[in-house]
Amino acid sequence: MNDGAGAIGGLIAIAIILYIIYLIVVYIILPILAIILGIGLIILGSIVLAGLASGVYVGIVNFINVLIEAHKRLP
Amino acid sequence: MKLYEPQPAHLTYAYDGGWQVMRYVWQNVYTETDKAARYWFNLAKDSERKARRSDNIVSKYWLWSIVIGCAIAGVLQYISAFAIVSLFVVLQFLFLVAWITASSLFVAFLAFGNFLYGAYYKIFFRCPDCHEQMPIPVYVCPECAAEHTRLWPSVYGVFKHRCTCNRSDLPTLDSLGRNKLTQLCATCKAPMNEQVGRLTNIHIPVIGGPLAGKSNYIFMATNQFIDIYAANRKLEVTFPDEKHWQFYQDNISKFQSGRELTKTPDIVPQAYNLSVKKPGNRVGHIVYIYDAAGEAYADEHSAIQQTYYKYVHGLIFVIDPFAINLYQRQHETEIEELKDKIRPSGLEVMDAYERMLAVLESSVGLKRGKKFPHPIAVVVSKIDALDLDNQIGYLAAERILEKIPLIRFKEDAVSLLVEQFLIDNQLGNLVRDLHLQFSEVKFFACSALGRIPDGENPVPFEPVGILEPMLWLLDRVGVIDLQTERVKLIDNDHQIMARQRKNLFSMARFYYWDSLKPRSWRVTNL
Repeated sequence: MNDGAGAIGGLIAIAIILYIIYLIVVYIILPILAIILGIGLIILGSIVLAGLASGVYVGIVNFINVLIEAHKRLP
Repeated sequence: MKLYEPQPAHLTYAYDGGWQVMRYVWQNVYTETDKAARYWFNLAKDSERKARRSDNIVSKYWLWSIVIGCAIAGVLQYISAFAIVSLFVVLQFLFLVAWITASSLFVAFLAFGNFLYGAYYKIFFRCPDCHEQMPIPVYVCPECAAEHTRLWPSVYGVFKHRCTCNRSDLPTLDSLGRNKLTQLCATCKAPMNEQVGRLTNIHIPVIGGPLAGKSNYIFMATNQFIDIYAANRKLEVTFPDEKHWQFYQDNISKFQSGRELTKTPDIVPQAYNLSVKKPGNRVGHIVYIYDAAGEAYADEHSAIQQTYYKYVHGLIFVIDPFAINLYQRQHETEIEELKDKIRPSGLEVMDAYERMLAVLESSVGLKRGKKFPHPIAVVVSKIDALDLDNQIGYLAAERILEKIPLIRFKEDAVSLLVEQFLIDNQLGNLVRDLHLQFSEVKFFACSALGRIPDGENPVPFEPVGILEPMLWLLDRVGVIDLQTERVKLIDNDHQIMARQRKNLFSMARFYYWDSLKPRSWRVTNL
């Protein structure tokens, strides 16, 4: 009977430890990871949007300049 | 003639410039795009180096995010530029195609309209010098003298062509001022006056042997037409060519100082242009009068060179009475005495007539026995000599009018007299052939000078009967409306005669019935 009570106690301890690990992973580690990954994606997304905006701007300005130059070259 | 020929002008934007712009933009827009993309790729490379060096996994991840973001941004530079340029190319293409379609339709519409206008009014570009016809003359740029051979709505412009000298825009339509440009004949490059190709063409050759009096007739008749006929009827008669006007003035000055004209030298003459416009008419007439030297009809080779016959609308055939064989023999002594002054023509009448028919056969396909649809005025000249005025001139005509009241007008009486005169002088064949070959024939007698010319007498010449042949011919070809004037004169006479009746009924009966009865008269003894 003392052996059985000891085993149960051990299982309960393991369960508690696993639960704590679960809590730590789910509520601490995963959010931190998500935040880190999210920041990375935001950085990527921002740079892509900035690139797109600059690409459109440069494209339009460049196009207008080349168009004007093309017309100036006409006889 | 080819419809299209390269011109010293710039093609319109839709046919040239627009496509060049498209090509240039496509080829050159990526230069700046490269620079922008390289900026982002360099940024990516720097971040990549930092990412590789970094030991911190979070920094490493963030730096790789930057690398990927910059790489995508660099690619997006090209994609953005490509999208903008592609959109431009598509829109420009559609725009140019629409422009080409619209301008082509407009050009076709204007060309067809111009063709119909020319066909309806019978307007042609015919060179007064070489007598060639052309669809369009050569126009000369007023700035650089470049010759534009197809100055009409085309790929070089619908309303104007920009000359390659870049200093002038040449209008393509007369309504926009094209008629004010210098125009040259496309064949012989002789300058043509601005009325050529703008008015209904009327071509009248004056035919006769050497020294028959053709030139004297033409200039005196023109003078009387302008000063007497046109002035009283508000016709606008002008010489569109400055040279012709000067030549005409010089000749009239000679006549006014009692001097004859010198003999015409040109076998193939330049045409004199006279522009005639009736009040209220939209389009006037440009009359081409051809005064070839009498030698042109002396042999077949010279006669065939009269290429302008293919355009002929009416003819004036001048007969020197002193070239008629029988008349010559009968008045040999008198003619010999006055030979130097009356200058008899050396070419027999029938020879000149036969040559004229030969030219008509070769030019317009006249067939012997088939009537030529155009009128011919047969004019016996020099009636101031040897009392011819008393035989066939207006003095004799007055006697006929008294004798035959049905003949209303002197020129009708003269026509009968002249016809009889020719028959009596063994030219009956000529008269019969004229009636056989020509749908309308009328005979006239005139004296261009009014008296036998004397080199020492400075008194101006006063012609007799000079205007009637020209007026009759111009009426027959539609330049003036002499017939209506004659009808009005007859109507006036009938009204006067009607008013002499006793009562209203007999007035009305005479005016509306008796006066309209057809009358015929055969004159056997004039």
